[in-house]
Amino acid sequence: MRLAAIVFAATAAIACHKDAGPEGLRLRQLHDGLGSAGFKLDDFKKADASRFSAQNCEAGALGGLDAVVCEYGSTEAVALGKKAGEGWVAEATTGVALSNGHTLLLLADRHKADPNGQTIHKITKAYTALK
Amino acid sequence: MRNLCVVAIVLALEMAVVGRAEARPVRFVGAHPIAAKQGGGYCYIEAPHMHIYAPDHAALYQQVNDEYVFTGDPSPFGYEGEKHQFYGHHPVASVNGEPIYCFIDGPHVHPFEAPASPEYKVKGNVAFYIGPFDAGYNRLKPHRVKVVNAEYRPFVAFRPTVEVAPPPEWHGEVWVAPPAIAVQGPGVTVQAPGVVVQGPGVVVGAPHFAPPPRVNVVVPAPSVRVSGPGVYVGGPGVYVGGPGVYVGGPGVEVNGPGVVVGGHGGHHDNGKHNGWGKHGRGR
Repeated sequence: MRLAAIVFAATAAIACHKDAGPEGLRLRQLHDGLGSAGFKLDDFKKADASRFSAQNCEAGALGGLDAVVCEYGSTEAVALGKKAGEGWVAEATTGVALSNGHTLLLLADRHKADPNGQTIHKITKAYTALK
Repeated sequence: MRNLCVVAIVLALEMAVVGRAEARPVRFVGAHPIAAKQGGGYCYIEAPHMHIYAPDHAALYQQVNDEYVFTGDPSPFGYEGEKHQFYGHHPVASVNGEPIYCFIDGPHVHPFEAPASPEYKVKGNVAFYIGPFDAGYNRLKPHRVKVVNAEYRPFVAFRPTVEVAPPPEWHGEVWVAPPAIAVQGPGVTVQAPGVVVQGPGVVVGAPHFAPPPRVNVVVPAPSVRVSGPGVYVGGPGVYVGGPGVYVGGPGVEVNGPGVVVGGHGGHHDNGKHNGWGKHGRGR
């Protein structure tokens, strides 16, 4: 029992360290990962990072959807940015605010470009699979 | 007068607050039917997402905190994709640690395959859940069974035909298709599995859902006799359809002066399996 507790504590410590460490997904990897899934972010422009409490943000169009990607210094900061991101999505017919590692992905379908969510599904599937 | 003004101001403020509340996005986890006022169809987003609309058929969702999780059979809602047959109640997934259940009695389908576990017994491509149910299931069951199965009553034709007997380890209730409803009207008879329509001023109604399968039956105009209020027959083409009435398939017969349209329902799926539902990812 005691051994199990020690093993659990050690595992938790490693997991937490990894979560907060520099290994989490970064914006560069996000670019590469979504690009290889067929969603290029080459035309994205710098966006106001302070609005999403981020270090860096870029905005553009992805598969006919409004998109923002941001990078954060910590996973705690990502959680804060996600709240702000949900506000950005708010009025869209459909929207997502997802985080992965040190990054945040925001998608908003404001013009019913993706009525069945097929494009959003593809993008989010590719994004959540990134490591 | 002054009191009236105060009341008016309070009402206006309340309306403003309600208006703001309605504008809040509604959270969904997993794929689900799209509300009819948004055009209907099926939303395929698996990841947690938001819409500006609330679900049409709230009974088919289990709410976890402020998130809606669709637990039903997507067939009547324009879903196109893999289908896997189940029979009776079973767990669907867990969202934020809270188990989600499907309470559909009898045969139905889901877009995901039953997990390969001893808690499921698969016979003839139909998955029967033989594992234990927890307290959460027992707490929800009395109400959910009633409302969920009421929602699916108009969609008997969408159910798969299951021709295997449940395994002995399975302790659910065997589902029996609802009895035929007979309504009669002069000159026009519409027959479909479980539904017969006859009678003057006949209205065959069901709650509004996605459009059912349609069959356009072309009838030579002279052979159609129509009488009775509430029955519309536009000739030479006669369209027979409506929510809850499935008309179609092979064996369609058209006779005059009465018109008989017959077909069979039932939906088989032999799609490939694609794994268990992945609700709650990407958080």
